[in-house]
Parts: sequence; structure tokens; C-alpha cells
Amino acid sequence: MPKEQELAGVLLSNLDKVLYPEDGITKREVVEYYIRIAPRMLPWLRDRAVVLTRYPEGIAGEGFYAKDAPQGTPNWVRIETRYSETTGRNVHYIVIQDLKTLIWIANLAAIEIHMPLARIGSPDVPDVIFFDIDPEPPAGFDAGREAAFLLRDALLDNGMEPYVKTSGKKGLHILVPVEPPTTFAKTRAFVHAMGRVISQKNAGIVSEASESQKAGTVFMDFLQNSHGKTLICPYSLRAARGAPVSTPLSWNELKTVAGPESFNIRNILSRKEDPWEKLAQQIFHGKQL
Amino acid sequence: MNGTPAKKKPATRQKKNTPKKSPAEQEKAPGKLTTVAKDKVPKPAEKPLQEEKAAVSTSGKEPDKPAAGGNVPRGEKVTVPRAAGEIKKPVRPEVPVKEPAAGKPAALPRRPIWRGTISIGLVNVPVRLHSMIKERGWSFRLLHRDDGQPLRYDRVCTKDDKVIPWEDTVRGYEVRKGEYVVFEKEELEAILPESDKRIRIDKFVYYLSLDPVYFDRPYVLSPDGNSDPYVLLHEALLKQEKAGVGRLTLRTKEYPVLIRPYHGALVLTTLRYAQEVSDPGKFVELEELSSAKPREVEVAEKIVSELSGDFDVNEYHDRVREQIELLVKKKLAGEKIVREAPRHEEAKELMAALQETLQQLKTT
Repeated sequence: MPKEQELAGVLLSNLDKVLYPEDGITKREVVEYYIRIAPRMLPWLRDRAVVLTRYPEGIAGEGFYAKDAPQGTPNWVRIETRYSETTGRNVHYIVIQDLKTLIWIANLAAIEIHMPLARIGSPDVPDVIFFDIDPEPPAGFDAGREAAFLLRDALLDNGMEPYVKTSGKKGLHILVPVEPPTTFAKTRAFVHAMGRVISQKNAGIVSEASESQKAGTVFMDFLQNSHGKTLICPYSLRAARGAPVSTPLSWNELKTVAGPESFNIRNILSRKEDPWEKLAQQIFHGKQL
Repeated sequence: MNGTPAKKKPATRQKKNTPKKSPAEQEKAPGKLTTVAKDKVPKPAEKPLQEEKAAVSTSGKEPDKPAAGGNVPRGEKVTVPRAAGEIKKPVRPEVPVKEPAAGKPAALPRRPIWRGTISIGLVNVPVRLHSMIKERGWSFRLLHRDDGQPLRYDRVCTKDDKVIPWEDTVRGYEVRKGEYVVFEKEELEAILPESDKRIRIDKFVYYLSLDPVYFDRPYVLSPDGNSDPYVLLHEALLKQEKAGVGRLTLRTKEYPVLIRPYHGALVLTTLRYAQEVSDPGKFVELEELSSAKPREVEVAEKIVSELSGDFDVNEYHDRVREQIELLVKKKLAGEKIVREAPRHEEAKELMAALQETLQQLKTT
């Protein structure tokens, strides 16, 4: 039944398509999720050239990274055109400025929404520092959690206010807002340095890219703080069984949370408060250079 | 035609009126559909809109208004015109710019389509024949988008794509697909009936005994000169509730006709020949219909009687025509028409989520 339906001026298609076959989650549920989560998500998306992971055939099918706005993108969608050195051509990025665009994105079966650390007016100036805590099996969520608390203490010691979220997969993401002007070189160096500090406190934590594949370690990936790199947007769905959500947590919550799959499309909305609300507003109202 | 592009040739009647203003029109034409209407008006396109409207309505009353304009019976359009001269140029008498929703009671056109006598035995009733159909249907003229000028249809040979002048054409009667028996114009003229100015009435019948499927096109008869015979015939038919059937030759075609009283006048209706109308009972699919169960028939009958009423033709409107007339009015008033995108069904199941989110976004 490939019937099209309209919502808020957006044409929705194939809403009955199952995107998470093991959970029986349809595109309608995905669209509804993004509509309902929009107030918590939109502050993060404004003025950012997003990269999507689309799964038109569902997560069991072939997904693909989409940087370019697809053919037939409505003219009300904001597009950021940027020349890509690596491909030698212009890339037309989508900017999710409003609810309407978010609904449209969801209809593209763009399950994962990835955001850059800088905004479109100043793509070389990050407004957040990103600590990517990535446990390498057999190290798991608990090892990552341990590293996260170590990092939190170190950051607090530096007078910073860190925020943590699950990646939705096995990792944890810690964000620290940073006032411009700064550069990716500086934030990258800072993350690298912090990684070295905590790796000295815990032998299971590695801070160098060369050691990142070492089994059972937790890698502090400082290289993510670069122009053009993205991280999964807070509250984005992940393309994994159970439809987990990259979930902002309070540090107290992190102590007790069972694992990354604890928060998913079916339960996240019942959690009414947003531990990242303050940060989201700070980011949203942050100055653009 | 000083400086007039060759494209303008097709315009026939208007051509004489418009060429001097055409460059201006051409500048205005692109992208603005209202100029289409303007071009039909034999007045400069630069005129203010109010005046143009007046021009639109008066142009229809010009003395050179073609008698056949809008009144050509359908039957005649398809026949082979006898006088070659008439058809050499594809002169299409323009229907004067239609005044949308004119709706006033009109006098019969001064010039009838046909004049003659109804002959009943030795009695003659002199009559004029007028179209009864007001041509209220809607149609569009095909125009060139860039300059708003009407397009002409050319006779193009399907083999070599050349435009063929009328004198090089013959008529072909298709006997098998792609196979024709060829007729010269003269050969056809010899067999086509002469209009003998007579409607011969063969007999009188109860007109309700004739099934409406045979009714083709109604015409109004009016008395020609002495109206006594006309009045007499009308009265007699009315009293007897009968209609005269006979035949009439209009131009090159002969029709069975039925003449009956209607709204204080005699009305002539051309009839279709029996072989022009198929017998639905002879279609295989319909021959094999089974009979219904009495119980079901009872129910069906009940539904029918519940919905029964008197037929009022005014309950039905040509809604497409009304839409077009409205748009024409707006365009004449210079309003820009924006095409509305087709409406899609709303995703109702997501409406609640949307409403709640919109509410939240408003308050934050």
C-alpha cells in the first residue's frame, strides 16, 4: 500500500514499512518518535549540516550514509552547500532547522542523524568538545562507564561541566560546551591530553589511535574533534535491534543504567525530563561566528 | 503584415484586427495567461481591464458575428462540405468571447439554420429551424504559449509530412484498416441528398413510444411568415399527445426526425438510425445475466421507492464549467491563478503527536 499521506505539509510515504524487522517497528513509529522527541532534539540540529544514515529497506537491508540532499528535496528544506576537497565537488548538506524538516527526514527512513561539532556559519570552529569513549570487546559498557566517571572527575577538576550520553551502541559520549573562538586543533589536543591523564589512572584506557584496536581496552578517540567529523545526535535512533536511542543521562543515572539498550524508541518518551536541557539551550543560543 | 511573424497566419478573423498591436501583445503574452483572453478582443491589449471587459461582451454583438458561431449542429460538423471554397481556409468562426454566466432569455437568432416547410400530405407548414442547444459546453482553443496566438491545424500527409492543399485532397472510405476506396468530391456531390426544403411527415405517433436512446439533437421550429398552420399543428399535436415522424435533409445528411409540442412551441428532434445504436441485450456479457432472487428484489425495490422523487434537471450543474467560468472571470480581472497542489490524505495517526509537539515548541 504505497499510499502517500500528508502531515504538516510533508508528504509521507510507505508509513507501514517495517524498519526494525525484529521489533516490528514501522516507519510510522519512527516518524512519530521524531515528532515527539523534536523539542529535545531540534536545539542540537539548528544550523548544523547533518549526515544521515538511511535505511529505506529497514535496518536489515542496506543502509547508506547520505551527506547530499536527495533528488526531490522540497524547496523549503534548508541546504548548506560546501565544497568537498576529498571528492572535488559540492556537497549539498541538509540543515534540520525545524520540525517540518525533521518529519521529512524521518520519512526518508533516515534512522540515524549525525551532527557535526560546528555550525554552518563557522564550520571550523567547534562549539562542543567531544570525548568519544569506545570500549573494544571484550570490554563493554561497564568499562566505558568507569572511564566516563574518571573523565568526569578530571574535567570537573579543570572547572568544566561535562555531559554524558549513551551512543546507543556500546559507547559513551561526553560533551563539554566550549565558547568560541577555538579551533579543532585545540579541542583535539585537549581531548588527547585528557585521554592521557585518565589512561594513567586506569590501565584499561588507551589514548592513542595506534592502541585503539587493542582488545579489552577503552579508547578515548580524540580524532573525532575534526572538521567534517560527526557524532550521533542526542536522541537519535540507532539502526540496531531494539531501536536504541543515543540518550543523554544525568551522572546519577549513569551509575545505575544497565546498558545502552535501556533507552529505546518505546520508553524514552516516558522519561519527561531532559538531563541535557541546560546544555541544549546553551548550544542552541550559542553565538555563531 | 508588416513585421508580423509568420506564426500569426492562422488567426483568421482576428488577424485583421490585431496586427498593429501585436508586438505589444507579444511582450505581454509570456507567462501571463490573461493575455489569451485579451487577444480575442479586437481592442488594444494595453486597455485598462474594465474597458476590456466591455470589449469582450460587445465583440459578440458585432454585425459580422458569424451566424453559425456556436450554433452549428454537431451533425453538420462531420459532414463533407459541398462548396470547396468554403473549406479551403480552415475558417473557424470564432465563438465570440463567451460572457461567463450570461443567463438572460435570448431571442431566436435572426438567421435560422434552415428554412422550409413541414409537409403533411397536402398541408404545408412554413417553418424556420433554430438550434435549441445553447452550446453551453466548454472548450479551449489551442494557442502558442509564447505569443498567445491560436494554432491552425494543417493537413499533413502521414507519409512525407508535407502540408497538402485542399485541391490535392480526395475522400477515402476505409474498407479495411489502412485500405480506402477513393472518392472525388464530384462523385460524392452526386450522391449526397439535395436539401429540398421539406420535412415530410410520414405519420403521427405517441412520442413516448419512441425510446430516448434514439433522440439525437433538438431544434426549435418557429413559424415562417404565416403562423396559422404552425399554431394549428401545435394545437392538434398537443391535444392528441402525438408527434409527427418524418425525415429532414440538413446540408448533406438526411435525418429521421420527430416533431412534437414542447413549452408552447414545436420542437424537432433529429433521431439516430437504428444501426447507429447498439442493442445492449446483444452483448455477450449482458446476455448471460442471471435472474435475481425474489427476496433481494424486494429489498432493492424498497431502496428504489425510498429514493424516488421528481426529476429536476436544475439539480445538476456542470461543475467543471462553473470552475472554468470562475477562473475566466478571475483571469479577466487580472488575478493570478495559482494551481493548488492535489491534496493528500492526512496522516491522521500522527496528528496527535504533531499537535503535542507543536504545543511544546510554542511554550519553550
